[in-house]
Amino acid sequence: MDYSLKYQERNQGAHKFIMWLAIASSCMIFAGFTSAFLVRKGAGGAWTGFDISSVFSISTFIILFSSATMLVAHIANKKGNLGFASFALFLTFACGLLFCYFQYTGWVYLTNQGFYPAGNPNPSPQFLFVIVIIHAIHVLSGMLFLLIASVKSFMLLKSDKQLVVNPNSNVLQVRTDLLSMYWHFMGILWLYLFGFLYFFL
Amino acid sequence: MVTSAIENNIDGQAHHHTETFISKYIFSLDHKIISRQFLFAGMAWAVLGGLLSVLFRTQLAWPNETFPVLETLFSTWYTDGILKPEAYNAMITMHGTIMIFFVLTASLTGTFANLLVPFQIGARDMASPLLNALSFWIFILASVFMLASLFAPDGAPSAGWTVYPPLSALPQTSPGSGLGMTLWLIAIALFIISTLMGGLNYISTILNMRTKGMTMYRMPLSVWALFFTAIVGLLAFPVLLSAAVLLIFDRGLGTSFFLSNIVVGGSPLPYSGGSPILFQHLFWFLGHPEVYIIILPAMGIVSEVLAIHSRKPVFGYKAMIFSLLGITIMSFLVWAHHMFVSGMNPFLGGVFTVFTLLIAIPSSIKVFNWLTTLWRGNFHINPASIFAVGFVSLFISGGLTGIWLGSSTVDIRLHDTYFVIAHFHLVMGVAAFFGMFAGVYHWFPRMFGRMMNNTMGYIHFGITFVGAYLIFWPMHFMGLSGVPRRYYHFNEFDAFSQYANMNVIITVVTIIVFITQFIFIFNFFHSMYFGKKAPQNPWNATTLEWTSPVEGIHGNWEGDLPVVHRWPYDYSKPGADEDFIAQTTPLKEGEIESH
Repeated sequence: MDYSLKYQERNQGAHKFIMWLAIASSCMIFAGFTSAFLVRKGAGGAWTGFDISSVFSISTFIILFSSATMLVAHIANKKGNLGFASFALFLTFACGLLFCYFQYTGWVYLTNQGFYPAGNPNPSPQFLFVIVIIHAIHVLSGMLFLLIASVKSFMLLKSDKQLVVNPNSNVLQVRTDLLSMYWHFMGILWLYLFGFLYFFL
Repeated sequence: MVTSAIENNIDGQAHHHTETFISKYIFSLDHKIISRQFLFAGMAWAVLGGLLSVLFRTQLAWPNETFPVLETLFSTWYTDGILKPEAYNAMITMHGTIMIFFVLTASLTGTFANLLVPFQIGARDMASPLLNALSFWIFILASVFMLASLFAPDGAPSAGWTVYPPLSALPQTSPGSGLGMTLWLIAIALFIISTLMGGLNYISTILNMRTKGMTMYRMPLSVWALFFTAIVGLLAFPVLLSAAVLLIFDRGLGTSFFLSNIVVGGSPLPYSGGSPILFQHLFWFLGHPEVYIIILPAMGIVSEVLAIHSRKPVFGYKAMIFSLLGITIMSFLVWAHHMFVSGMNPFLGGVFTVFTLLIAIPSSIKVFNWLTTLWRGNFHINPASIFAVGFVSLFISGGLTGIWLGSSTVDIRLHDTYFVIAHFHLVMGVAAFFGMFAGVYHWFPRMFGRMMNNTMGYIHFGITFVGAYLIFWPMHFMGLSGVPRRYYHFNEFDAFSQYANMNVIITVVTIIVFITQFIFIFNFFHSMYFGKKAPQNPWNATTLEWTSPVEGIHGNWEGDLPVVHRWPYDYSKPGADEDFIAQTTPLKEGEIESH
């Protein structure tokens, strides 16, 4: 392998590492929220818990399913199957959209039960509100890149195939490893938040 | 970010392509240019931050005088020639915010991490140049919001740089808690995103992009310090982001995370169940590591500059690294020493006292090693080296009072007095500026290919150094007498009338020191264009940045990257022909590598 390729490979490894660090700092944001949650709950005073398992179970299932479609997209992309990769990426994007929709309906259901975030002497719904919204913002930013990757993959399929070739594998592809890491992290993060809220709310 | 990396073929060879002014100097992806951009932005912010301190110091020195000139210049902040009380609060808030976040965090790290990390580890650029550029431009966006908050129509933010609720959470509490505070919070959220983007990149670049032979123990201390700075930032800033988000929700959506049982103007507000102490915990979980985010890069720069200009290896290289590591870990265990008076359990106060005092150990190791690096060195006097020595002096003077304040029993007495102001300005305010000045004077030839003027540098150093002590030394005594910080004037307090003249002296010196900084700015821009042309390696330093062409080429080195054979502190090595051996020089037969 010539020197420039080695350098590029290291550079791509560095990008992956950046994603790991971004995940770590993202964890710290939610560590901030959940620790504030525990401190507030431990301080005593009004605190009404409620069961969220039925409210957010559909969205939890969807985001776990979307991890599977992401995996399929990543493998298809690695094999150079651009069409299928593009489709699976789009499917993952659609799952993200559905996830956000069911988070929203879950939230509407809770407010109908009287769990308002604002002007409520019970602070538990407002913590739930912030956690759900900030997680959804993370998911939405991931969806933006899913859409870009999907469109790019589709355009690559239609374009002159000599344009972009990964020099390491000689397979025509877009880069999905970082996206895949981020998306699985979104699923794991929600699973953690769901478990946390289920046990501590 | 995700899909474009393969197309962005950052190859191993330097390649030239036509660039316009905009692509080269404005939306550049080159670490050298981004470093300059951070420096220029930081200088602009520092002038504004300094100007605000001159304004509020003028009020403290002459509380009954009128200044029609200042009213003409800053009409929104003055009535009848006198600074308005709410504007005074805004000035101190914005001075702290600007200096801490925009100058000493963003610009200090942004300038030197961008300049030194790729250069000193032998990389063509950052791991992700795009993320690097984005980091700068999001910083500029944050700057726009912060600047806008200063000129908010109902008043600039005035809740102090710590923005404690309920003052910061309720718009009706003060004029500055309205739109100004909202803009402040947006600016800080953007600022955190920018800092995180930078930090991710620095860590990944240091761990993944080192050139052949550049083992971790062959990295200069400047890179080590920037590495630990980025780690602290990466773990601490997200928590402040959480706090800012919760505060934004409290302000905008009526939640009660930090608010409870509040009565304004006789009418109770609907908030209940929140805790303002919770905000203090979240804030100081960042706030204390933040002071290390500021001081660690300065420490790294000073270690490097002192060794080079003493023509000696840095004393205790590994001890320096492990004390940096010690400070990094311990910086997360001391935050509540800012909250000793918030009704904390005395036992918990004791625990935080012990941790706080323990952090003095790695700090003292560093001071000891700087002094022993200087000891019997062949010290070359120039602005860079004396600013580095000035840093050590200020760090010792300010650090010693940290031991007082770290003890909860003493702190309860001195909390929120001028003693605290004196302590932190010396140890992490002025000291960090001295580290930054040392870095600018030292690496100016590397950044612009020209030398700065030494005479102007000496004048700059002399007045700033003496001025710093004249300003902050008396404040210790004021604080010990109980003079509280953040007060608009002390006319009503007979007990403090003895300090009226002292306030005048401090203010006069502040104005002189502020004006002196323009000598530096003139020197900087004049030397950029008319300074003496710099030779390839003006300080006879060993590190890799001085092997890259002076004119600064894309990719840093023509052809292959340099290969490293030794540690970065081979100065005055016995048996060597010169008093320095570059890191790229192979070991002679039988030569043992120093560590």
